[in-house]
Amino acid sequence: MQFESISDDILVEKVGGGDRQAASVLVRRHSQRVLNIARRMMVNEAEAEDVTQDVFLKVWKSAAKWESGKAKFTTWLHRVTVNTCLDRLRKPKMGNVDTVPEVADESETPAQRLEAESRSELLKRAMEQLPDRQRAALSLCYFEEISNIEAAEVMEVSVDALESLLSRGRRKLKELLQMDREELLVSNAQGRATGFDG
Amino acid sequence: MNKEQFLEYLEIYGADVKRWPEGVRSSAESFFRSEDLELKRAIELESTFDSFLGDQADMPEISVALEAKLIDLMPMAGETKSAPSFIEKLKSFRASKWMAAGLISASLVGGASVGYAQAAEQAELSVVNSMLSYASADELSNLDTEQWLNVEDISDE
Repeated sequence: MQFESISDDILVEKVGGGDRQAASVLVRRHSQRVLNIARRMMVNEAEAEDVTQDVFLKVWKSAAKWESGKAKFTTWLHRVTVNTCLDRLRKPKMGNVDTVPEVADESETPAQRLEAESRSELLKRAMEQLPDRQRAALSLCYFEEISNIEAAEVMEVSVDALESLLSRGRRKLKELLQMDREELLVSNAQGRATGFDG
Repeated sequence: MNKEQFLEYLEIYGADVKRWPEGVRSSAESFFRSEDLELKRAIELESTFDSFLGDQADMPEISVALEAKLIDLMPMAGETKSAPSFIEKLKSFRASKWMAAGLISASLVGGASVGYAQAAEQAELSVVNSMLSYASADELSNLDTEQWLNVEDISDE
């Protein structure tokens, strides 16, 4: 059977029946995004991996009870991810200092890489200072490019409330990065895009 | 859509119209092409901010090890009770009366001057030592008690 072409709903049902191959397809299909959301939320790589494991453990445990068609699997999965992150963020910190590894672009010169790392570090620090739910909204809508309607479902808020979180999140981030705005304007001048030509 | 609404959406979704809700994209187009200085400046600022965020959008790929770990979590989720540890198995271990009797007989026939209780204890220890000699901890922990001995529990006697 071609597992790769099977819908999430059917795969989850199969997992509920103990099918490890179906589990493996679900992991390959969705674990990257779960990990990325957790990375944006938790900032710390080890914690992001722990969240990812917690999330998939919940998937396996819930699989037998999964009702096809009742909810979209990815919406549920992302909701579990965000809620797991929020739960962990409410708990006292244990002093883990691991950081999110950055993607090294081999085409960059060392100077460019240093500059990119510095900007990346800057954004990471600013993101850390955002309220958790604003960070979650930005992570879902901006970085993972989930639609505003689905992101609102994931976060269990109205679209208006989500837009408010996004707006406040972007505004706060801009404030936090304000001191480097001139530098940003220069370093990003070549990368602008509005989606419209002209 | 009026200018004020456009600026609100711009602040929420940024300057890349692909991120905007589908229902308002077409009505936003004329504002993106506008020569209004206030709009041009706001679009430029949001566009710069988008580019800055976009540079940080790529994340390292998930490791094969983590993917494997996620799949390995699956059987654990289905278990209502965790598998007994090797020590737990050892604690629950009781040699069969036949195995014990055989080993006791061998001990006595061999001239060992021990009592029955000591012989039984030695018999159990012998079995445990044999198991430890010929099987790894993983192999042992994957077996249940019945598989180990396939005999009755003498403690029920």
